Amino acid sequence: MSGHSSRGLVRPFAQRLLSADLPGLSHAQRDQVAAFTVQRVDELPSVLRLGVEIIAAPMRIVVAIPGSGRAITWLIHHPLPLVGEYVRMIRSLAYTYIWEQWPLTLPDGSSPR
Amino acid sequence: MKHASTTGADAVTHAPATEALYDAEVLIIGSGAGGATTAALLAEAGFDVLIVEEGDWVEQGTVVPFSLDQMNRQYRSGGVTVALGLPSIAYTEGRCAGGGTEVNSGLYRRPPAELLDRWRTQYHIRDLDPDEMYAIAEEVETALNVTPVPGAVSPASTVLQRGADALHWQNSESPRWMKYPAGGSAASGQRQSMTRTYLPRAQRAGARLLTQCRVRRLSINGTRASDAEVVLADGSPGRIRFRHVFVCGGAIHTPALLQRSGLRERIGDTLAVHPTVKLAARFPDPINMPDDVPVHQVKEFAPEISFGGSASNPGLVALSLADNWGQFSHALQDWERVCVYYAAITSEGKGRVKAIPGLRDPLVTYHLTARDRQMLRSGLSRLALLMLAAGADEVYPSYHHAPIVRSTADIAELQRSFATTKATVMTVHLCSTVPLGEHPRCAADSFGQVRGMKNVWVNDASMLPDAPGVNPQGSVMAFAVRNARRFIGTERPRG
Repeated sequence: MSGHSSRGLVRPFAQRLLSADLPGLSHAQRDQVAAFTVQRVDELPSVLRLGVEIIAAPMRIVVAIPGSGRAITWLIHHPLPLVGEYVRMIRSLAYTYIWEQWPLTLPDGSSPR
Repeated sequence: MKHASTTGADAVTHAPATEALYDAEVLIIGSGAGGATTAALLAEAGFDVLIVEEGDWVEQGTVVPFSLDQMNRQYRSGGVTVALGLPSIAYTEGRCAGGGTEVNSGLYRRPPAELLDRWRTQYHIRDLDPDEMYAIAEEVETALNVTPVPGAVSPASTVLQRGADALHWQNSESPRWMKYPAGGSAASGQRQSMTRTYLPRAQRAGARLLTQCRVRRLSINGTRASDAEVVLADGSPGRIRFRHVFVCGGAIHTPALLQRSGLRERIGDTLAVHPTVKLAARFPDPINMPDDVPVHQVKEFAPEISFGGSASNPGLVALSLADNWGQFSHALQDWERVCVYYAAITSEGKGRVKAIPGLRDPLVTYHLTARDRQMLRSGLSRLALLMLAAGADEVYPSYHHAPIVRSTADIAELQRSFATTKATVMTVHLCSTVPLGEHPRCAADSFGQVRGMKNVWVNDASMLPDAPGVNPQGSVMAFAVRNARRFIGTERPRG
């Protein structure tokens, strides 16, 4: 595994995806889940990680553009080739983590009262 | 010269600042179903055996099965590995002492007689005697305590049985390598994986085990390999000299290591898998068993299509619903009534494993054929039908924009809208990257000896000629024992 972290590329997108999918998730939880997804991306096999970072880089740019919310929402709900696989991977990691850590989480990400 | 410790959990030795040097008559790379059995048989025959394992020794009971903690500690890359293609296929590999046997479902199937016959004729495998293979299978089954569940199976397993019976589809309980306490139930079994069976047996016979040791490459001179360059637990380099080497690192890392060592001919070109698609189904009553899997399998359409159940803790249920979260997510609130099931196919597609210079891990690709895509569609549709027949009130197929299936009428919409490019396709069975046989496509001879090499063997899932259409561990172990015995019959221990 290479020494650098993909945190700068993956974390902002993971947070944006979680905000869109699970608006009830608290900031602290969102940060924790995003950190987990970054950790898993950092552990990917080298070839796969390289591919993920190639896709993540333009996605990171899109996330940084002011007013790109609708574009992001569209991207995360349409299974585009390659980009769709990246979205699916981040979402899969995040959901698995959330419902293993907090199994009572409601479908919108909020905690039961 | 340094020697690894001969105990199990304490097996790690640390290297000094300079390169550590080990000697072994037989080096076995990998400690899974192939490597562990090979080690036990060779050590008992008097060979000086050193097993190296890239992962750690993780004692059973110290991790929750199918949890993220287990993924961290016992799977390669935290369980996130992918064969690239359209669609890409997610797969998992064990990376720990005992390999995949520590983390898989523990379901056991003998290689079917017709499969052995086909392999023998199609791949020209010499001396492949079904009687011998079944005698070995019996031996393995005794060693692993292969047995059905005592008493009632889990409700999630009963679902498969009930649905299949209602449709008059062939189904059966798959036995597992488990030991159950007297009066025990489905949930009380202890898996008889390699760390409980063949690895201790190998160690009792004098084999040494070095865990957290990654083999970078083999040094090859002409037709012989002489030593292995390794990286030890603390990151320091080491070297292992040997007379013979068995590469048993699994269907991805066995060919990758051989390629990094300069052996490329016919190696890694014929990856075979059982692609699977899945769905979640909700029933009127609780059926979920978070840390176990159903033991029934539906074989009505085998070997082309098989159905079974997956682990279904809340995280994995969420994962299976994620492709159409907006429509499916309500089911998660009833996760105790939900379980995940799969349809697996025998694929005609092929994949490749390619070591890339400068990169630690190989590139893995897999391409489904048009027939495969059709089989996956058909498999998922029939699985939905099976769930309805078992009494499911809602079925959630795992692909983008999938419909909720509540009646047989909804299955038509499933068939219409399904596409593999929209689906989560995955596999846990990978094989055939160094196939054995005398056929020109085979990379190893009929007993796993790598072509052109005098002292390099493969003895793991890589050697299976193609995907067996059943859980492959029984086939891997039967071939591994057969090949190890052939080796013992032709080579003599140094004494």
